[in-house]
Amino acid sequence: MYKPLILRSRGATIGLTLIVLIFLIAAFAPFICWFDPWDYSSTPLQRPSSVHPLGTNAIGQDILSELMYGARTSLTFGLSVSAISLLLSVLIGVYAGISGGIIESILMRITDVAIAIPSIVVIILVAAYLQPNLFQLILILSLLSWQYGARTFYAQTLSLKQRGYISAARNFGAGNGYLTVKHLIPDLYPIMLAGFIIRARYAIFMEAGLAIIGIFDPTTKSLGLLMHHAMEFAYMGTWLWWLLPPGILLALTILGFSLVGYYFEETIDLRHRSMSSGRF
Amino acid sequence: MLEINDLTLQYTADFVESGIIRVLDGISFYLKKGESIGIIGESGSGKTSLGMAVMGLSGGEVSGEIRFGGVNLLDLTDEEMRVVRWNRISMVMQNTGNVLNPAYTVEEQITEPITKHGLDSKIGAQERASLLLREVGLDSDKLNAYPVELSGGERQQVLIAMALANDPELIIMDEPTASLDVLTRRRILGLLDRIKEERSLLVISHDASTVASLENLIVLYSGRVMEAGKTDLLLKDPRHPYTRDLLRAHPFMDTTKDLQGIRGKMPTLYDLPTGCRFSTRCTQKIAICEERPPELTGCRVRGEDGSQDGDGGTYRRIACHRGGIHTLLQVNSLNKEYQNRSRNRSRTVAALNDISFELQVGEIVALVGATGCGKSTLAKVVTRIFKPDSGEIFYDGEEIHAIDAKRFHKDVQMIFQDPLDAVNTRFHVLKIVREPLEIQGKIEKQEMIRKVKHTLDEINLPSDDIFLKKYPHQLSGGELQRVTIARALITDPKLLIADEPTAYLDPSVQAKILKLLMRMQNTRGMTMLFITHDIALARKVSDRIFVMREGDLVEQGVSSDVIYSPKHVYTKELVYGAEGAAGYIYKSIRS
Repeated sequence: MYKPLILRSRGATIGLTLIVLIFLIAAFAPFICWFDPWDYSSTPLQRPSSVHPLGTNAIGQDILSELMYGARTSLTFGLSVSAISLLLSVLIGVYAGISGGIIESILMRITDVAIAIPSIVVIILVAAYLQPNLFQLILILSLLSWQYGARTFYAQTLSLKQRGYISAARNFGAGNGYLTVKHLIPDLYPIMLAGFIIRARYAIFMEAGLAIIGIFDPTTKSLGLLMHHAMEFAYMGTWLWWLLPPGILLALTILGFSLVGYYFEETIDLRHRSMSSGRF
Repeated sequence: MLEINDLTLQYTADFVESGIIRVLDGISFYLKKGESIGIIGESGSGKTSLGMAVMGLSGGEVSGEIRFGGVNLLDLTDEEMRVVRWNRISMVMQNTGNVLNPAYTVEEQITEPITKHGLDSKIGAQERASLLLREVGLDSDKLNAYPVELSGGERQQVLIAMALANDPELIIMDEPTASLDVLTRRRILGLLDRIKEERSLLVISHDASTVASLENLIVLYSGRVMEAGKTDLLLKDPRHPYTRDLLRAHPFMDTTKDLQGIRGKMPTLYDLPTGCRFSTRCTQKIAICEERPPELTGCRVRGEDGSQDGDGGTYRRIACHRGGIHTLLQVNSLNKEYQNRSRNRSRTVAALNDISFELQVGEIVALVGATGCGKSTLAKVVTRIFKPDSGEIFYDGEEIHAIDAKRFHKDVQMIFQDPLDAVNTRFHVLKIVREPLEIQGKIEKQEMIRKVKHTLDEINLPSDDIFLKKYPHQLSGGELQRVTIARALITDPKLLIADEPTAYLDPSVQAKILKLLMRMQNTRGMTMLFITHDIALARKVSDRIFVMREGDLVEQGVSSDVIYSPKHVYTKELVYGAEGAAGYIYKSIRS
């Protein structure tokens, strides 16, 4: 029976299963939960029961519902940051690589500067002073994490530029626009896919980190925020059903993305590709 | 002595619309006393008709002037013409085996014209016959032989003896060396040399080496003169595309390139093109060539010392709207440097050092040199991928950077060394081959697919849907290189640059690809710059060879000259090196 390549790797299969499961939970949270996570009408600080499987929090909200909605936010945040920063990296890296000359110099020096900036410190400061909402936070983190990708795509573009088919296409009268759309971007798809997953993992992790230290839009529900609140009441012995579940869910999410990311890094690397394409 | 002005010969024929077939059209030339002239051209170009017309034997409708000794032969009556014929002008007919009457002996045939014109008694005529036979190099005991007892060469000698019989001032010879072996041919040519010392000689031949020793040469094509001039100059430096192509098809002893015919067919006489007669096969035709025939005018010839000479001193004329073979690409003192940075020192390396050359329409030039000598850089500069530091490149008279990119890249195409690198491995055959059309734009999808299939057919690749959907890794190296050739040819380029196109292929596939490239070059009339490090390969494909060494163009010349008498030390090294390698292989095969 035909088996997709990705399912032949055990690690990737586990990773993919995890991601799919968490995705399903996140996507169908409103249909699964029987409590509105913002509804604080229940008795606060209940132990787990058949009505509230993970108990309630300090203001009487159902923790299981919070957990599911939290996964939603965390995934949304991770994937959005990843997509936006990837878009920026590709735009800047490929544009610098294909243009050359002064544009290349300016863009790559900006990238160097961005790499030199300690982004964690900047984001903590910015977040602490601006009190951004979810959308703004996505933007800030994206703007602070494109630079490494830009370097990669720039280097890849330079190497692809040396390929004969690019010279050939130029020889047919193709301009940079055509080359980018028809050759470079499609050639970079594998790297983009691997980069996207690695980046998503990083962003989910960042969200948790920021939320735990209290820098996250408090009106939302996220895994990090859940842990942040749980820690305030950890002394009451509620950690088992309040702190641990979001921690485990976060760990599983990151594990899933990591496993799939490693798989793509290994198999869709350009060098592996050209070797397996049957050079004579 | 012989002056032909605007000679036209036509026959009436009721199977053509116009009712006439014009065999000769506006031929003019003159032949001074004691001079010799050769007329060359393919079969059916009107050479023999011209000889017959001068002899007054052509039948048909002759107009114009044939002045011989001041008298227009066309004004003479049949009776008067009969006196001129054989006595003052004689003709050696083409030796086809039936010109001599098989029922008469050699002696009877030679004495016939003498006695017929009543110049001598029978005894005197017989004496003269044996004298003539000795003059043309035959023993007098052949006098009593019948034609069947003679070899082809001997029959030719007898024919010449007959032509000499009445001591004419002008002898016309039709194909005197056709179908003779080399040694016999040399004997006949020696005879020709002796004859032309005393008489005027007009030799008709399709063979350039037969007429090589004559003073003047006329190139005839489809009833018109294409080029005329001093034989040595014309053979060494043909200016008309037809002359060049004709000479290129001729197997001279030192020819290195594989022989190729002239592309296409000579037009039939009842369906002549309105413009230049050669326009249907010419590689440099422009609009005017198809509108009206070109006049035969003086052309500029480059002398040995590089000086330009007009019509003046040298008798050199050409019938071409473009003034002779056109220069497609002219490169003037091109320079390009690379910065080679190692550690802290920065060193400049000259990749191209004052490179100048010309590429002419329809020729293959091989650029030979070791790896890293700047060959590929030159190719990239010429195709506008790199910008030169200084120097000019003119394509068809225009500076290449001033030409619209799409137009330039439609005309100038390139084939690369590594076919797998030269195609995007994500593309299938159809996508690869149609890419240039997509970039050039303005073409419908169906038309594009039709063109792709047509081009694939042309280079002997399958064009079915299964093949079109194949990916590069599913093809062999040879097939993939053919695909890239198809891709380069699909825009119908005028200049094709092939950068080591066979370097990755085994000798058998290499040979096939080279044959294919040469065939495509010939049928499409492209100009080709063939870049290779292999001089043994270069000599088989090229008309001229350029030798490059560390950014310098050290030698450029006709392939046979470069191979057999290399001038620059480096060229010698390359040639002897290649010979040495070959010698080693032969030895190991033999032992």
